Amino acid sequence: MELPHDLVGHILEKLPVKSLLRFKSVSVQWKSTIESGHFKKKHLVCRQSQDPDILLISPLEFSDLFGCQENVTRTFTMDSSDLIRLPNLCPSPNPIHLDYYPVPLVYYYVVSWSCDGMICYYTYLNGIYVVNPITRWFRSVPQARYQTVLLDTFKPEYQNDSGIFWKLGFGKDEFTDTYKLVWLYNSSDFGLENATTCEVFDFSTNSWRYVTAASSRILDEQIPVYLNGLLHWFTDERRILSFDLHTETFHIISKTPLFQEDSQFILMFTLDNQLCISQKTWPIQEIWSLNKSDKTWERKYLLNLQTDSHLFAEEKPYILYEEGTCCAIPVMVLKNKKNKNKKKQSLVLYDARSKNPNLMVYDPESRSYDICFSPNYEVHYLTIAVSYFPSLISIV
Amino acid sequence: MENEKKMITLKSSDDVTFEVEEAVVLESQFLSHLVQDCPAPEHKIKEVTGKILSKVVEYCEKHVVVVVDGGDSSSSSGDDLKKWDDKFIKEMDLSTVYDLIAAANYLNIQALLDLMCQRVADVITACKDHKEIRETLGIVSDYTAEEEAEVLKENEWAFD
Repeated sequence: MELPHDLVGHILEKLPVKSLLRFKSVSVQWKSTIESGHFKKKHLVCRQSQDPDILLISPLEFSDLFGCQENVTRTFTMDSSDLIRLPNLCPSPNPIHLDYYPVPLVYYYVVSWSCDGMICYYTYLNGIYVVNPITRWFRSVPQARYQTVLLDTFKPEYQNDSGIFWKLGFGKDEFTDTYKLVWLYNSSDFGLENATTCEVFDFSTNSWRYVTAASSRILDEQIPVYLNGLLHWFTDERRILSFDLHTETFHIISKTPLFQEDSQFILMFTLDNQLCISQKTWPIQEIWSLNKSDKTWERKYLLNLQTDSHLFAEEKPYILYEEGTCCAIPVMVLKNKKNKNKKKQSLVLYDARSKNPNLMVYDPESRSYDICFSPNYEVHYLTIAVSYFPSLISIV
Repeated sequence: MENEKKMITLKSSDDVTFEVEEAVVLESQFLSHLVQDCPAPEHKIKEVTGKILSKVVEYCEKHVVVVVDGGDSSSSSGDDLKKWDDKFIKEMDLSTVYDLIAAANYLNIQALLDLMCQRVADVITACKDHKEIRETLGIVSDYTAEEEAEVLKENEWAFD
């Protein structure tokens, strides 16, 4: 009695990533099945029918009492109490020594949202890594021209040090199944012409190139949001700008129902495969989702953060050049298990700026919040929570 | 209403016959195409034995009933169906599971294929290492000792 050869894949696609890595040693056939590109894709599709896991990424975590700081990533599965610490895959950021600058510059890694189980870690000045945190696969990406341009702004003759950083987008051209990194920024901050400048990294050629940029300026400090072959940004006028990763063209796809002036109190993200936006006007945070077909917005959740105000931060603390969002980050909708039959599904939230940062489950029926684990570490306010589907995917 | 239901006869490779409602047959993509393209009252399925076909029919009959009667109370019947599925696979030995996987794949019954594959996946998950998996699933390793040691070393950290 043996497993039918052509059906091994059907069975293995139901197993978690870590088991698959261990079970490569069962036979040559299992190993070649698990390592094939076709299987990796099917495994991901199968995993996507369940709830995603959550990565908590803390760019500056104090690892001991003496204040040694490092970048720490943890993974969390709903219904478990374990918050598993993952190994650091990227080398420590290199300090940059500049003749004209009194101290070495060190920038810590920030991250993109996830795409097919992978995350992009990068510093603004030097170093970009695409990482699969579960398989420990990673790939180093050459320096972007944006990083060189940004470094130039530290020169003494350069007077326009605005302190604004633009975030890197990570997504996939779904027609050709190729991954791309996209850096879009407002040109005027660098004394350049046109509204914006855009460069794209192509993994197949391992190089950056400029593409025709968007004609509307974008909001700073927003993480570009990937969904279905498109990357999205807010424009200055609170519209949604999209970049088609296949055609490499920009389009304004929608106005938004947002009125909040302060860009730190608005946020874009995806929930359950829908593009969503959120704005916070203490103590209310609204969450809207975009209907794909008729491009209308529907308000999905109206959170009153005051009901459990110790779980949320009311105001941004006053620190000069403070970046990062001041909203509670909506991480995922609980689709499976006991939630399936609910009219309104529970929502997982994260607020790194609250007194006791934690993942929280919001139940829209009882309008109550439940915390997921007890934190025993000091969270940095730039910590982000990212939902992701653990996968075997890598970019070769 | 009962009388209007169209009946179809399925015949296994070893000539065991099963008379089932058309709705039951439609659970299988393969059979629904067959029934549409060739409207004979009896269909021989050469690839599936009577023992396995009886399991397939049992599964499809249960699942088709639930879909029809489900209506608004789908939540409770969904739970019942889950319980039924659990019981259905619980006492089954692995060789029957393999045969059912092959049959579900051939007849293109996605839900049954998923259920059976999940059953084997659960067996695999319960094994403590690759040796136990080989033993349980009857897999003969085609690795040389050196190759096996290398693969194990490569993925050593995943055993934590």
